[in-house]
Amino acid sequence: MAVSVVLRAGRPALLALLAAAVGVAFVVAALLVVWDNGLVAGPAMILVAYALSLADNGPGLDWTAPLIGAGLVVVVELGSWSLELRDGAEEQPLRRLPAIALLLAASLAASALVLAMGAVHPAGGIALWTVGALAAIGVLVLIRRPPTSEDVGRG
Amino acid sequence: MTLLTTPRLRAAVWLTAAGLFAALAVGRAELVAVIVPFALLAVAGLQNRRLHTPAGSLRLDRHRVRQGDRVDGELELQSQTATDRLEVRLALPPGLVVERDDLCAVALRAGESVTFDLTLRCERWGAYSDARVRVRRYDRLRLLADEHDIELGKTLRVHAERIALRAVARPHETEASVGDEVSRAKGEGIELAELRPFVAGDDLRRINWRATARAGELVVNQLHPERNTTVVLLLDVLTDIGSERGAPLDQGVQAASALAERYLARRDRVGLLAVGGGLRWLRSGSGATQVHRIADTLLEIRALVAAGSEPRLLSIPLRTIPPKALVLVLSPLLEDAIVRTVLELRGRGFDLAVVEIPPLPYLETKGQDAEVAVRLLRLERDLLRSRLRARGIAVVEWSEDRSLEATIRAMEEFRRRARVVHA
Repeated sequence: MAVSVVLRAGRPALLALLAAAVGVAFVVAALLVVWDNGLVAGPAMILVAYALSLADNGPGLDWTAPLIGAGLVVVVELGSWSLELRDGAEEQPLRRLPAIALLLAASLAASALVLAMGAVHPAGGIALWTVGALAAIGVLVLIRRPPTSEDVGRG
Repeated sequence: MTLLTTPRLRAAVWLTAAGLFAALAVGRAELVAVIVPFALLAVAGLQNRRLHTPAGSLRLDRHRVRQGDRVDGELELQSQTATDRLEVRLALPPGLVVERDDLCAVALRAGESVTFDLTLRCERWGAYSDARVRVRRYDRLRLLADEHDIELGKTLRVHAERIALRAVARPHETEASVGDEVSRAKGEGIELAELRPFVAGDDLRRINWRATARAGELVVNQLHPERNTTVVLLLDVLTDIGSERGAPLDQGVQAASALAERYLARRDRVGLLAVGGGLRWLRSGSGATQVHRIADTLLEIRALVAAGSEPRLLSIPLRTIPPKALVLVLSPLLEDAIVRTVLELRGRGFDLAVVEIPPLPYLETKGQDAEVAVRLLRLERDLLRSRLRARGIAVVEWSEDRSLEATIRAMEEFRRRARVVHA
């Protein structure tokens, strides 16, 4: 996926290549040394590489974006599953495959829907900017208090 | 219960944030399309903060075993709601080892229960109340997990290996109650002490007719009464050095247990005094109950192992040691504090003997420097022994090549020959 992101750039973009390489290295390290955060940083770097490649790609919409999104979902999902299996084998590991397939299909559909909406209003003006800014603020509010270790037993 | 985020949720949150900012910066809708699945996952994960903890119990088939024994047990888990993945892991304290288990991650339907069998091997003595099973349960999307511990219902008590003992170190003085120890005093008893002329009031059954015939006057037998004694076992818990081969504290506990059993079988009174970071004592008593009291106290003394700086002088309350008691010190004599305490007790006039548990077999001694250090340590310990013996304290080393029985006999031999010095 990282290779496709780099190749999508009109010309070999050094920064995109670097970001993609770092992202792949993070994911590989996460799987080799059981490093949870590698599965967070790795896909994030690949996303950055994709953003850099888009900058070189002209004003037209990239219709492969849903595939990139689904690819990232697969990387995170399978990577996390791999780490979970090291913590303890499951009785019926294949039972998880339909759920992953469903997640993948839903991801593709959601991405395609958003992209289609973007195509209807390619330059959404102030309204699109407002929605984007509100969404960014919302995410900041959500991650400001991450429930990494919360004792809910007292509540 | 602890709520944990999985890498999936963390990735979803951070990718959503990074994607939105990148989309705003670059001005491309494609980036929003890429992160939409992650944004939906993040929202789903952060909304679902309540998980239903599965109920469970951890049971063992025995709760009182000897070191080296194996204990079978079972873990039963029941989930009120359906769960996609339930991870089960044993969190055991050092000294307990899982020999066999069939633990794995399971998926449970609502109301379904599952039972795991396991076998534990008890490698070291102690009272284990903190053995537990850690259960991690994931939500349906595996974005959040909650972790909680299932504790052992009842404390597992692992007693030290038993040593059969016949020899005992005899106290210089006996108590007033009847026992197995022949008193130095004279009175009613079985053992002959001496012959003396008959005086008015003597029991006629005590007249020794042969001696009377030889002496030409009435001669009676004077007897030693059989009395019990009081022994206080002073166990040094100041350090717990050790390796895979064991630890001096293990030997100390074994010796204390064996000596207590032996003395109590002789109808003596036995007390226990464990000195470490704190002090724990058990008043001297007799009978089968005292055997159990001492055994249970010994299991819990590891909590006394001194941490950090060594105390300057251990203060031992006077009432913990009866005046006529023999104080048997079980110690590797590594800390100055215990040596000072032994000398102080001797100074107070207590009858004292030391079973020295050599620490050297438990230390890693590789390399030339270590050899020199070991030689110096040996010299230092020889000097210490001489110092204690000069005060009339029997110090006998319970070395690897000698049984506890032989050690106690050597101690008794020393005490018989040694001149009692009252400081």
